[in-house]
Amino acid sequence: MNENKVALKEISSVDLQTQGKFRWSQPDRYKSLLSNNKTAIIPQGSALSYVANSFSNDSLTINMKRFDRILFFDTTQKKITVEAGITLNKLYFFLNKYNLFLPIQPGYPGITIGGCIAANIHGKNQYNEGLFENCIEEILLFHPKHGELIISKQQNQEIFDLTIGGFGLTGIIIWAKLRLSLLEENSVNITHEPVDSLYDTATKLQKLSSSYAFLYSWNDLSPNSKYKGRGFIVKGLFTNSPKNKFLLIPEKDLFYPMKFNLFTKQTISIINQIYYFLNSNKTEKVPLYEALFPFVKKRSYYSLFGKTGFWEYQVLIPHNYAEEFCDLFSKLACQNKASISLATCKIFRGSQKYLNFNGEGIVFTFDFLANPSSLELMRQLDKKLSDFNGIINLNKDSRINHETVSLIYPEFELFHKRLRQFDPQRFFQSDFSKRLKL
Amino acid sequence: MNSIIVGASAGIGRSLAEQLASLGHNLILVSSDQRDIDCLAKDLSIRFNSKVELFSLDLNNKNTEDLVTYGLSVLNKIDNLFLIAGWISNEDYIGTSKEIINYTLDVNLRSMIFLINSFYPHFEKTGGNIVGIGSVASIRGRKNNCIYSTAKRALEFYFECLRHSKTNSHFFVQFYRLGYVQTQMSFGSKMLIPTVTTNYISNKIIAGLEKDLSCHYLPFWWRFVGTVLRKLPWFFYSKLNF
Repeated sequence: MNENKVALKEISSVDLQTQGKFRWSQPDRYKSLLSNNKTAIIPQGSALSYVANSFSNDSLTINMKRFDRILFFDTTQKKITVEAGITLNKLYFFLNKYNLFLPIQPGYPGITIGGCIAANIHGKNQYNEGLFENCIEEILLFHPKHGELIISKQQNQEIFDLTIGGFGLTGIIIWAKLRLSLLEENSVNITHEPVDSLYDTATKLQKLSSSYAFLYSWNDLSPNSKYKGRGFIVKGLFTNSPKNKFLLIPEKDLFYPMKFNLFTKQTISIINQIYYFLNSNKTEKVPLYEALFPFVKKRSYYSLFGKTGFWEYQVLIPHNYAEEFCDLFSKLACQNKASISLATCKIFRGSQKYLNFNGEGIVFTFDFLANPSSLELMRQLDKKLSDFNGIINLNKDSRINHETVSLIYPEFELFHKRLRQFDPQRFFQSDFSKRLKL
Repeated sequence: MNSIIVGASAGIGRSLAEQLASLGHNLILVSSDQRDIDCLAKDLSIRFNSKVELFSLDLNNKNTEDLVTYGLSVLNKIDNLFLIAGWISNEDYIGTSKEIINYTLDVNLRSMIFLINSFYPHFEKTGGNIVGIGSVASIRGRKNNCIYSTAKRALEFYFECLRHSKTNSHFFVQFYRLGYVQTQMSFGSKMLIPTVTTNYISNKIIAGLEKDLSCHYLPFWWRFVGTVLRKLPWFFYSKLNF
């Protein structure tokens, strides 16, 4: 007498490069959640991924938003167990009352904990905090053939490693036990330090990396700036502020694409110039919520691309190749007359495993208008990436194919093999996993 | 305040549990889905510091006296009984199987009557609220969801009997005819009339406590739809395909 109802739902990746109507269900009981063992399925959080990793023509999407409860909380141990569908927003406001917070969070609060695990996201200073895996103590994973499994660094470690940053391909994350940090101050003192170029940014970031809690840059790579990348480094340190107001955000439908595209080659230059002059020497005290989730105030940014959307290209380049990469990028961007609406840099450290976006070096992020010259530029960069030992963030790139990924990710074949060993029938599939032949 | 929610595992029942817990109610969550109410109880205890107890009850099982005994032993006095549970089959049409007929009537009607009868002496003595949930599906008979609509119409009738029989003026009865709500019951269906959230419904139910409401439409616009449907001559009504 238990039925899991299915609807056809319009879903798109945030970059709007993959969209359509897909089979979708939103179970609200464990019986329904754990009942599907016949068809291919793929779990979904808030559907806020840049790429199509929570839906596919051949899979049933299982949306987890109804599973958003707190199951265990200990303030002294600083641990919390939450169901995978809980959003960072809900968690933030709960933890704030106890002066606790999750130290590693992506830029948007609507994202779920399940999504953070599946993408093994990074925060505002990966150099200091590492990836989201550092917050995870253990996970309850469900797979139709294996049942429910507790996975952690101590128990079922191989499945744990496949699941962290595993794009939801190993099963449904039911709950996760997370490590929290003490929130000693409720605000962040943000200062902006001007930089002249992309490479100047990379060298300055390297020097500053261990001194700030929040560290990233904004660079202007619009045609008028001649693709050099002047901009500013955003540096943040925790501080206390008596006046701390919270922003309230809508929980659903976060990005409405405008009917027309406000970002064009011409407007990008103007918008970026204005943004640079307004922010280049700014110092301000912002509430922690705003510092952790800067996209809350900037969510109209995505709408400005209109219905054609955008491409994001995020690469991790080892320090010794940074200068060469910056020169090559400026050269290719000039040649292709690229339209880049946003460029940012961050410093990373750590070791790379499977398909996780991790390693030692500088992360460059570029948002391109979705047009043929952008595609051509990304294709040319792809070809050079293996010379730089660079990797692309697969959670951000809607066009990268199996051939390129297998070339740039040393453990691609190993991930592929281990995933098949764990799940020979490949129950969990998405448009993304099919594109990469996973 | 002490409240019992029958059908607390999901949808309106869960939303009601969250809102009552936030208002400081002590709760007994009742459902056959033990795992769901267990998770909900943990969540409510952590977030609202509420006293939340669980009671596993399959609505096929008519042994409702156990819930009264348990409720009184845990809470001493019960102020509110919310009868939220409901079930609808995709194969609910004339000629459907006996299994579906029995299960639909058990969950939506028989168990509710048994529960009301079991709790009636307590509420007659101490006062409080008994809240029932009906459906706009029972406004007028149609070929779809016929067993469910029959059960809901009969339940509505029984609630009228309950109101008529109560003698204690501190004992209130509320019965709501619900329109389209965003629950698993309406999931994936194309609706001609807008749906409302479970939070909207639970807010209204809480606001309606301590009142006698015989057949109150939620959301309110269904009152107009209901009137039109009821007044429509059979010649036209029989041509409708919905």
